[in-house]
Amino acid sequence: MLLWVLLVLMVLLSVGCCIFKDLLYVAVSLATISAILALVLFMFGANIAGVFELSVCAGLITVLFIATVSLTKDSDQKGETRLPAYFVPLVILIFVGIDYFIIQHFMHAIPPAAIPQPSGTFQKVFWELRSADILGQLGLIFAGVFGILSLFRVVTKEKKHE
Amino acid sequence: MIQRIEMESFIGWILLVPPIAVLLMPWASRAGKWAANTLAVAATGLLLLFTLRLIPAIGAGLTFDYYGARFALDSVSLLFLIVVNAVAFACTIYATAYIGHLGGRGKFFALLIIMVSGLNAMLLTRDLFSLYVFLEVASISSYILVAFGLEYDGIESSIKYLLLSAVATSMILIGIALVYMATGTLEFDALKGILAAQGGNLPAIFLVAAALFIGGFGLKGALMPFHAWLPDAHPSAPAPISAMLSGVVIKVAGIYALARIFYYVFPGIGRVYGAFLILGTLSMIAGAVLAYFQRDFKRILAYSSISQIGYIMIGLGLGNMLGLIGALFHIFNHALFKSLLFLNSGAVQYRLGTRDIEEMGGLENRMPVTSTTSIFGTLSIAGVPPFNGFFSKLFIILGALAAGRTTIAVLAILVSIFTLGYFLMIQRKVFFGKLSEKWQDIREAPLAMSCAMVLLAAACLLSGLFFQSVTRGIVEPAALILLGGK
Repeated sequence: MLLWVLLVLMVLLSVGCCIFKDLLYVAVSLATISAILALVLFMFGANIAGVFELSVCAGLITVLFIATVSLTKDSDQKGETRLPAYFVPLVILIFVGIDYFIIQHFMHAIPPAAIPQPSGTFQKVFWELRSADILGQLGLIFAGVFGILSLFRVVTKEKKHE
Repeated sequence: MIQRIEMESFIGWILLVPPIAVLLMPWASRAGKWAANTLAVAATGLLLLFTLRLIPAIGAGLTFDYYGARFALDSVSLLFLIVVNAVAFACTIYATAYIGHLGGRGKFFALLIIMVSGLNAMLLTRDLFSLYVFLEVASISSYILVAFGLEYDGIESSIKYLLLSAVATSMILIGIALVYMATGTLEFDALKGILAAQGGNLPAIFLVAAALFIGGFGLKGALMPFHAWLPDAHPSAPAPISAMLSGVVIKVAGIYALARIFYYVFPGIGRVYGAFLILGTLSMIAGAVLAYFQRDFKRILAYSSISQIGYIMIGLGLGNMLGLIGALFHIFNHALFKSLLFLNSGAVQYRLGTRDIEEMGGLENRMPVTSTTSIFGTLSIAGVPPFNGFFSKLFIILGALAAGRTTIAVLAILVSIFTLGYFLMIQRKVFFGKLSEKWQDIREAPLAMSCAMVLLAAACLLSGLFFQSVTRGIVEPAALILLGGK
């Protein structure tokens, strides 16, 4: 029962992130979602993933978001149409319907015995079995850094467009 | 043995060159634009060189593991690696001249190289989750590159691309989770073994995963009806990025993933090949019809990409050797001629400042290199012999006839004629006719841009003239690997 409450809370907060006008509320909602997700991970016994979720997503990233929001000025905020917000409940209903259909018809087909046993220590999984993914994570970080630098650059044309 | 070690080292360099180049790029960019240009061209040139050096060994049917088998190379990966790195090299040369008017040269090249590295790693990985991670590397760089011009259109398209891609990656991730729950592994060969042991009686959960993969990768590959992001994102991006997106990204992120999963990992699951045929036919026809009604040069090309992806999906859906060879050869060819056509449109936009074909005309004498190379691209995409597009479409049509799909074969011929029609319309409106007064002072695109277009145009002609060497050397081995998994 607690699990369902937590999952519903996460969905509601996600909707909030899409419709809140104040970026500070959005950052706090995201942090709360991460904290709840960490709880869910602890409940499933994925303690290391829970610790990462809590420390990095709920902690570090939230600090970065709030610091960035505090650097923006009121004049930076632009008014935008609220029309999409009215469609959110409809979209959620559609997705809940799809989820219900999938759970009813297919989820029972998962053979429980196929769920794998833990394949080693955290160090082994992180540094050996999934080390290719760490290369990918590094790529994502580089993409993020150069992306921010590109999108917030001051455009200076190197030469006149002939 | 020595050859094997050498070949494995090439795979290593393909993975290592991009991060080294990206780390050096801020320094090169501060040293001046020539340093940034040289570094970017050298990095993509080396990637192409290492890829080409792998061809003889792969032609002999060898496969290579690297980094404890976390990465591996076979003929399928190699075919796509050639496509990615050849187009990336041409686009980088082109961008050295093009990017000047946008600024941020070092950042642009860094993101382009990160995108290429994500695509290359996707092609080399042997694990579904790693495939997803590297797909994200390529995708995130491409969202930013679409918005790189910092204009309203680009930013809006980038957000649309990001939102729809988020839906796609969610579907892919849920599909991966279902497969992992059902099998306990995500490695391609292990999955293949487990599924083969089930003797075709797969639990329903795999059908859900298959549907999610088709939806997710179909969206990434811009198949109808999952195409909504492409006609906005591709035209709004800077020209070299449009060329990369249409020529390469949709193929690796969409088609390669679908082919690898449904031919190699889950061969013959459900009625998936039938779904490929339906989606392919729909994309082939609707993409061509929608392209005809556009006025924006790059938007016509974007819709045309949807149509050509349809041909590729039909080839994959036929499930026979001819169809597969046609699909894989068309992937190779489409990467060349569509990148060329996007670079042509970029050159015209660079000089005229507009993409509206109704405002153009008579540029043939003012921009002879762009005009001539665009004729090469037009003849290739329309399937006119001896250009490369003719042979790949021929294989697909013969494959359809061999599979008893006469209607699809006839439709493919008709759409090809229709494609020739709307590309001739572009030629007439852009390059022929009377030159407008306001374009009297227009000159040919800068040398680097012209060189890139000439390289791709030559590749379109040569891969048509020597189609047997291309198909025997790199396409057939890839088709055999995929069919061997069937």
